[in-house]
Amino acid sequence: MSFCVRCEQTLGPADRRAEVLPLCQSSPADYCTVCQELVTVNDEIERVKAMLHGLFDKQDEIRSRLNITHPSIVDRLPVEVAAHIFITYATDCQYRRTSALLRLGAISRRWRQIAWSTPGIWSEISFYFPRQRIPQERLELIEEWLARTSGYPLTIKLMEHNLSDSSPYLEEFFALIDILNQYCKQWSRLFISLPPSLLLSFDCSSCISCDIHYLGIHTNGTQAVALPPVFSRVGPKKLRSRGPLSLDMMSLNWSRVTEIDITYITVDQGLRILRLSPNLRHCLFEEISVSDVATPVEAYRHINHPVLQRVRVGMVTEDAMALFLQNITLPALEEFRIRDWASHPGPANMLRSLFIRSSNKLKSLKLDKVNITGDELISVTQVTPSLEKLCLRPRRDAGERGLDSFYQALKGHLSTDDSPSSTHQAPLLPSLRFFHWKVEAIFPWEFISAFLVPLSREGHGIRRPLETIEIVCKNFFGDRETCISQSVRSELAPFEDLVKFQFKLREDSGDQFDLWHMTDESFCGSLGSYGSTRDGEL
Amino acid sequence: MVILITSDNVKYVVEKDVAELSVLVKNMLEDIGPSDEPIPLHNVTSTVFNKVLEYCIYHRNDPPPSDDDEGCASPLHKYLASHICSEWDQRFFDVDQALLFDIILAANYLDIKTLLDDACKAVAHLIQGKSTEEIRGIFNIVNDFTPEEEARVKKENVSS
Repeated sequence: MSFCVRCEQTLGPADRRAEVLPLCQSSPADYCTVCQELVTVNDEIERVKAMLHGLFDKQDEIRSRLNITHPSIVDRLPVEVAAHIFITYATDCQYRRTSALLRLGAISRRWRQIAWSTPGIWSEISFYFPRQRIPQERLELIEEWLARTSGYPLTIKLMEHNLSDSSPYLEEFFALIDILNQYCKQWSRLFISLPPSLLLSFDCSSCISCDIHYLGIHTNGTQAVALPPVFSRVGPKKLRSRGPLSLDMMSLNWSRVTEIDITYITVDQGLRILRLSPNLRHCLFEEISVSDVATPVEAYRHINHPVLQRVRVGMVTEDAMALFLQNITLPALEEFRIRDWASHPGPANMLRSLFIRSSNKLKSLKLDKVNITGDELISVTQVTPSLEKLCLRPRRDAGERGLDSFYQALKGHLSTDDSPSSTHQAPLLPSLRFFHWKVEAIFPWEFISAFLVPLSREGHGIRRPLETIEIVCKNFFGDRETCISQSVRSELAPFEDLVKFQFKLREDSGDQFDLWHMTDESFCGSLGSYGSTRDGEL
Repeated sequence: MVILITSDNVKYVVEKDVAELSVLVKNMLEDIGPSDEPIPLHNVTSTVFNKVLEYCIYHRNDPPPSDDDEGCASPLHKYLASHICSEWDQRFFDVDQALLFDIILAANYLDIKTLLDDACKAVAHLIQGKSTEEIRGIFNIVNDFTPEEEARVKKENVSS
């Protein structure tokens, strides 16, 4: 009995149990007639099987030539173009990516040859750690996958699903990381979310240098982000960390870092990172806190960072934020965002001080859920004349009229009051191009035209170079006060071609209405004619 | 204006900025200098060139394609870049397979990167989400693996 791999059928007797052999014990020449007949039939079967297999072989050989003599439309493309299509396909693949990419090598020999020799297809490897064992076949698959990358920069994503240091089979995951360590020279973008013991098994000591473009590390819960000592050789350009930083993290080579995005950081760590990162351009620190452990005063030494351009900060406590803001000077600062400052007094004085000592180049300021009054905002914007973009998201409890004095001050330079304080003041925000306001409140529409007044009392028609004013009132559907009155509409009408007015009413449900086209009368009438939309599509 | 002649001897008078979207044509114009001599496009027929021209005229004012940041554009950036395709482009590439592949060959020959990229996206879209057999069916490809190779392919897909 034999099995044909081609037709996938068992070739043999009808009962499929065993070969049928002569029963005569004598030499073949002395077989009985029946056994002789059986031998003849068996010989014939063998001959036919050999012939059949020969025909299958011939069919295989012919089939292998079919794609050559009748190349498909894809196979007529030059190899580099076909590879380009495959890379585009690989970039598109998001769902079941591994099998989707392997499918390229399952179509035909030529497709496989092209796919297997195009490193760009295999440059990203994602592994979601399962709770069960990793089969050996899967490790082999990963080895083969990486072998096809041929030195190409690698994006590696390793995520765990509630894996902890006590999880079973953890040692098997070390085998996977060992494989990845062999390719440390190619590490370009690393996204790692693993328990500390696995994180510590990463090893790039075999590399002369390990210049990673992006390093993203997450830990679950309150575990500190720890790095293996060898990572002191790693110099990422961009770093993202979620989870409290451990001291090990400080051993990273910070010299190449240009962008940082760190959540959960203490003030002393933040200041130290600024000192260690001379090339830092963009910095995002969220959940800034003061260290629980005693920290030497030296750790809070003032830092002057000469190249840092964009800073975005959020805090756990106002004390921590104050400590941070008071100890930095940023001469190159162009963009600043601060959020979540609830207590009184707000950060206005600190911001004013920071901007005065830092930079006269500030172009963008975003105050997100920050306690600030109109007068305080005036004091801040007085020292930031270069500001082109102002985003305000006042706190919900700030009161609807809290910033009225600021809006009035926008045209304060035109005041006819003869007192020295009013007649000689410079216009606020003379370079403003974008104003964005978003809050769960009604905007004081009577002040909107203050943004558009001339910059001098003499006229000359020179105004703030405004391009966009975006006002988003949240969750005030059905409130007549939300509507823009006809008189305000008339004041804005002459500027409609110059400034993009985006006035919206947005509900938590996602419904959004265009307030510019919603008159008081119509608001109280049929809203259906305005066609509420979802997700910002007007 | 630039005069271009396709392989089937059809003459086109094309504005220079449109013609120069082709790096091949741009280089040839720089090589020959100011001249009224027609530029032959040996590998492109008029049928295909009509489509290429339509694309170049529509995209003549597009900003030039930028290279990846040191080849390290984020996966999201790459994904978005691969998906951003206007309605016009979708209609433009809604042609039969033969013409689509001729456009690719022409874009490759004329060295028009954006057209090549967009056309490759259109083909990649054809195979996205399809099974092995479906892909073979779409492009009329014969499974030419030996039984041993076939067994290996199957094993890879089981392991994945």
